[in-house]
Amino acid sequence: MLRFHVLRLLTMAHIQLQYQLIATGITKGFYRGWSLVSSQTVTLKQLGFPNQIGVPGSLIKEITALLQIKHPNIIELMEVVNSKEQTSLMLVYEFMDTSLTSFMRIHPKVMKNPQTIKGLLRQILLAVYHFHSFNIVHEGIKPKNMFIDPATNTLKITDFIWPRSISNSIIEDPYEESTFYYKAPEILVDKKQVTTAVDVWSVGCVFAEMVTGKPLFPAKTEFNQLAKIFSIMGTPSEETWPGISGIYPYLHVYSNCKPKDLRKLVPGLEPAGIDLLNKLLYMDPKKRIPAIKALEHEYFQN
Amino acid sequence: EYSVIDFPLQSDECLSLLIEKECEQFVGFGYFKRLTDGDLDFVARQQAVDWIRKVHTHFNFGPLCAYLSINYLDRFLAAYEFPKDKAWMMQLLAVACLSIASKMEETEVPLVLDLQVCESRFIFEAKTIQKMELLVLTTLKWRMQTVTPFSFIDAFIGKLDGDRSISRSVILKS
Repeated sequence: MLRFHVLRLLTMAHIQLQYQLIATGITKGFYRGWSLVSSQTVTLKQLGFPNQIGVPGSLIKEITALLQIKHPNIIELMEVVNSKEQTSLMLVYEFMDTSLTSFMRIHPKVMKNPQTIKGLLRQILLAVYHFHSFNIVHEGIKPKNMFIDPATNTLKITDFIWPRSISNSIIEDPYEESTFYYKAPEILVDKKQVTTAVDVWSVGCVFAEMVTGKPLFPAKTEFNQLAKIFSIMGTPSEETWPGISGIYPYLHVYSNCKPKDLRKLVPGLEPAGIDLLNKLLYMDPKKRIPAIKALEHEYFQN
Repeated sequence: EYSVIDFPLQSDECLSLLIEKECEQFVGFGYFKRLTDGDLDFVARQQAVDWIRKVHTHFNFGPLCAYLSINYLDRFLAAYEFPKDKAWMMQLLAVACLSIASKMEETEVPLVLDLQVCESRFIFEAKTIQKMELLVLTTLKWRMQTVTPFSFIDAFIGKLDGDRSISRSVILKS
């Protein structure tokens, strides 16, 4: 039923009257909408794509998978609606409005509570484990892609599809400049090295940020991101990361840094938390802890 | 080391989920009746299927890709009121279905324009094919991960072989 109404609204000329833009000017292509049938508020995301290739294959695969995924910690993709001209798509998501970024800013006191952080990290890992079990890699995990219901502290992850599936999309990611803070070293080295482990790395970055309120690896440019990571986690070698010289011949360019003590960089985190953080941020992706194992870590035992 | 390549084999729970999904996606006996009664254009469908198989061989696509294309075609025909006397529409549908299936299953996908080989009776613009792709995707409610006989192979091999872990590549070869 929702389909008909959203479709009708989309095809109307006075579309702006029916949908309020969320954060006009910051986030292009996002609308807040509501269903006339269920009176539910929804988030609408518009996607356009170039003509030559048809509907991008990655997009088809992801929408197919996401429509099947139902999880309390993943924002539900409720519907996919075609525009009348069949040139763009509108994705209909359940609506949430407080991102983890805003939540950390608005409620610094709540974030001081270790139990809150534990609860949020657990929910993040549950979501990540869930889509990893569908063999989906998110690749864009960052605080801006997580939403929190302040009443219950329920956290939900969103934004699988946009922007990464559609590299040539007419819509650009306005947050692109900070996305690389959360990128795993192996994809900074070689984009083809995508495995589920890249998400685990990002979760580690978010974990540290929840404790300190600041990004752990804030490089100025994507180019400097790898150096920033090396300066804290230590420059890898064939011993610490077997195979690294094969995928990245430029290692010798970087100065040889020793790993820093995360206890000093992430003060206030209990020892079990530091241990988990070290495992989430393990440089060699093959030895990085999988989400399911992280959930069993002793940090979550009390 | 944590393995990132081998996925666990499907459990009984998955198997019952598969069967449930398969029933959901079944085109229905009505569809076969409509085909044989001449309510739907049986010959046009057969031509479309033949063309898909030819192109499929031409590009050396995998078996699942052919299965999916024809599955999409049948599910679309069952769900959508298709004008009977427009041969070009059936051809357009065949191109769109093959294009979607190749994107779902193949690692190297030719451009949609290049798919139109093997004495394709009509040649369509990329824009037109994209529109048809969207129509197929919407009509099939984006349920493109169809349950196929291949889906069951995983589950049954798991049953035959006890709980020994088999890598997915072995299963795909079968």
